[in-house]
Amino acid sequence: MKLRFPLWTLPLGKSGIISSVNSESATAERIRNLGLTEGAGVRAVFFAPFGDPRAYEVNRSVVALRRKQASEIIVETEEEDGEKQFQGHAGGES
Amino acid sequence: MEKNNFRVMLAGNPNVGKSTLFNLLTRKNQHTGNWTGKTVDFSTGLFTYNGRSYSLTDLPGAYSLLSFSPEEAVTRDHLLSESSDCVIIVLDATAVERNLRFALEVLSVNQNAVICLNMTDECEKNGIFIDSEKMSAALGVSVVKTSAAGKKGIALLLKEVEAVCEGNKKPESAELSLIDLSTADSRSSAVSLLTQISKRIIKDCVTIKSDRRNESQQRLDKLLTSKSFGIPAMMLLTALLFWITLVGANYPSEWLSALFSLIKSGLNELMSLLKAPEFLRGLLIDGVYTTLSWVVSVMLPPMAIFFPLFALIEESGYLPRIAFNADSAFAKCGVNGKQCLTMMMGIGCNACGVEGCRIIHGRKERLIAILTNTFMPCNGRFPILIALIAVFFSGGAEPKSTLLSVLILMGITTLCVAMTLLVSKLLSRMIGGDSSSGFILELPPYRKPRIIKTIVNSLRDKALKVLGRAMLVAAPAGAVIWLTANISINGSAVLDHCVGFLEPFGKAIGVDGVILIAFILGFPANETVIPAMLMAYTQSGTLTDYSGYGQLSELFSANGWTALTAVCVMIITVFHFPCSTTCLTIRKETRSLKWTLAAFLLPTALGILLCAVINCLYTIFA
Ligand SMILES: Nc1nc2c(ncn2[C@@H]2O[C@H](COP(=O)(O)OP(=O)(O)OP(=O)(O)O)[C@@H](O)[C@H]2O)c(=O)[nH]1
Ligand SMILES: [Mg+2]
Repeated sequence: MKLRFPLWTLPLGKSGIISSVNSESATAERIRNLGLTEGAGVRAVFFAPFGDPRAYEVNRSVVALRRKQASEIIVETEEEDGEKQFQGHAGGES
Repeated sequence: MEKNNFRVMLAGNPNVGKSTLFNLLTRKNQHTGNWTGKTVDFSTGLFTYNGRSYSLTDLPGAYSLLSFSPEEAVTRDHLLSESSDCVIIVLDATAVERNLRFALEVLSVNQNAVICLNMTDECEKNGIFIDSEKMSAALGVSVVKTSAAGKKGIALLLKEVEAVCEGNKKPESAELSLIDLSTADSRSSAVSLLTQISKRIIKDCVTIKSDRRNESQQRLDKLLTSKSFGIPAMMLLTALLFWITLVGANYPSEWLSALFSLIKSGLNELMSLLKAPEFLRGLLIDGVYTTLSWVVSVMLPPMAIFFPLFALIEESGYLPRIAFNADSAFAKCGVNGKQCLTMMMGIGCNACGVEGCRIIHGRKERLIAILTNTFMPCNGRFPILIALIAVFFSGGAEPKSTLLSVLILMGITTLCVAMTLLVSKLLSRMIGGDSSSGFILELPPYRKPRIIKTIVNSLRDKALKVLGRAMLVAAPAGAVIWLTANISINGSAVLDHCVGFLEPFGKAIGVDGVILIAFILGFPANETVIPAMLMAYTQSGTLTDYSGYGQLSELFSANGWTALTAVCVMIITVFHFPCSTTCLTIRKETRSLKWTLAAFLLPTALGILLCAVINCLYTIFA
């Protein structure tokens, strides 16, 4: 079964696939330009000392987003096996 | 420019190595740095290849030709309007998916291009293999693998550029010429077509082993942004940077001033041999030469240590992490974490910092970053702080007093940052306009800096800059100051009249007339502030040899300075009107006289306010 939720709630070290970027158009464009496009696999890799912003990995590059921007991006994961697309690397940290 | 010059442009995503390539080809010294948005304006240089000369333009990085940020607009306008013989599209091979999209956008408007797959030295490590021939066939233009940092593949790149310029190579992609990005209607279909093509090419030409970064990068990021270690690491690094600067600058400063005073006595003898009039001797030696040598011996050494080290940190990729760690504080004040990057550029030079504010997209956030940029002491003011700390709070070179100096310097830096945040918060409430542009920042991989190259470049750059300013601004300023101190009206010197006029006001905020005059005369270049004070204090208007900090301290105390005066002077050093160059840059960037005036008055008012508060507190508690 597929789960859909905002990227912001993706737990540290987990990954998902972007299903939509719902920000207003200029922001959405900048987000997509950085590789966070529909269909791309993202992973929450590290959080700032005070929890916001958070850093997401997409195609080996890392993009920092504030809560607002990351909440406007919707990702989907398979309920159990969210990291299938990254063979062999799943769940490195917790 | 000669007629038969070929015109070549460098375009690409941010942080892919365009400026590095530009420097390599033109032997220029454009700033490079491992973060996105280092270059915000274009610059042009020349090189020759096979007997033909080429003019090369380095453009700011852009993620897309469809975007609207000011620094990206520079790139778009150049690519769309300027005629060029060849565009070198520089791609970061390790992020080829994202980069290729930009390449396709450029190709759809201009197919006289060569694709330069840069950073190929990092590909293998990241498990990426690109078939450049296949890619070239798919795109219809040549694809060359290079490493700008490792100087690999450059010859081949130039050969392909030559072929395109000579017209020997005709682009072959019919598919791309169909794409029309120019009108709004065709744009959305164009964008989806581009995405489709880019996906297909990636699938055909690129083998990617993993979507993850390598382990060591991840571990470093976890550590440097962690809750317990992220902020302390930042502090420790700053302290270390200050410590090395203070310890290291001591000796060369002494050597230089010894050397300068030796030359000075030689010059004086020469003057008396030539029977030069006293007026001329005074003007040239006591005015010009002494100011010049003071600037060089006191300003140059700390800068020559601080900035190469800072450049190393910049090349390593740590700066964007600082912005990442600090963003929540900036968010609370209604501004953008990228302001942190522009503040750090401001430490080098506020004019550069102000220009760098183009990386901030929100109009209001950018304006606030510009207005508060001078709250960070630039390289003309930093050494004033160091000198005052050495004179008043911790003379001597033993570890304990150095540690104290470092702590005081950290304290001042904290005050600067705190004031930036506070004022940003106030401004963000006061200025109307658009809401937050959010924080969307790419964090580039950590890279091992090319140590020697970075140090040499930054040394040459800083030394030239300090020396250039010393010659062009400090020397004439020295002459002017000497003249004001030696030309009398109604029996006393012009300088004394001005000092007398400002004295009551100076006293009211805990300083004196001389100090205020020195800052006003320092408008063209803050480097001259202390020499001006010295000249005004020594009655004859001569700067006798203040080679050591010890003599400086005597002179200051003789003129009524206390530790409180020194604190106020340090505060005014940080918080007063921007120098003339910075004012001009602010004018250019804001295109508004009103905001330039605001940028002038804001720090001045803040400085006066802080001094007044400190004096009040002092009289109440002491
Ligand atoms: N490993 C490696 N590093 C490189 C190479 N080329 C450039 N770099 C490094 O990449 C970083 C960015 O280089 P710049 O030349 O400043 O990039 P830019 O494209 O001008 O960036 P912007 O001005 O921000 O658009 C610097 O730290 C360079 O030292 C390369 O071929 N290999
Ligand atoms: Mg650049």
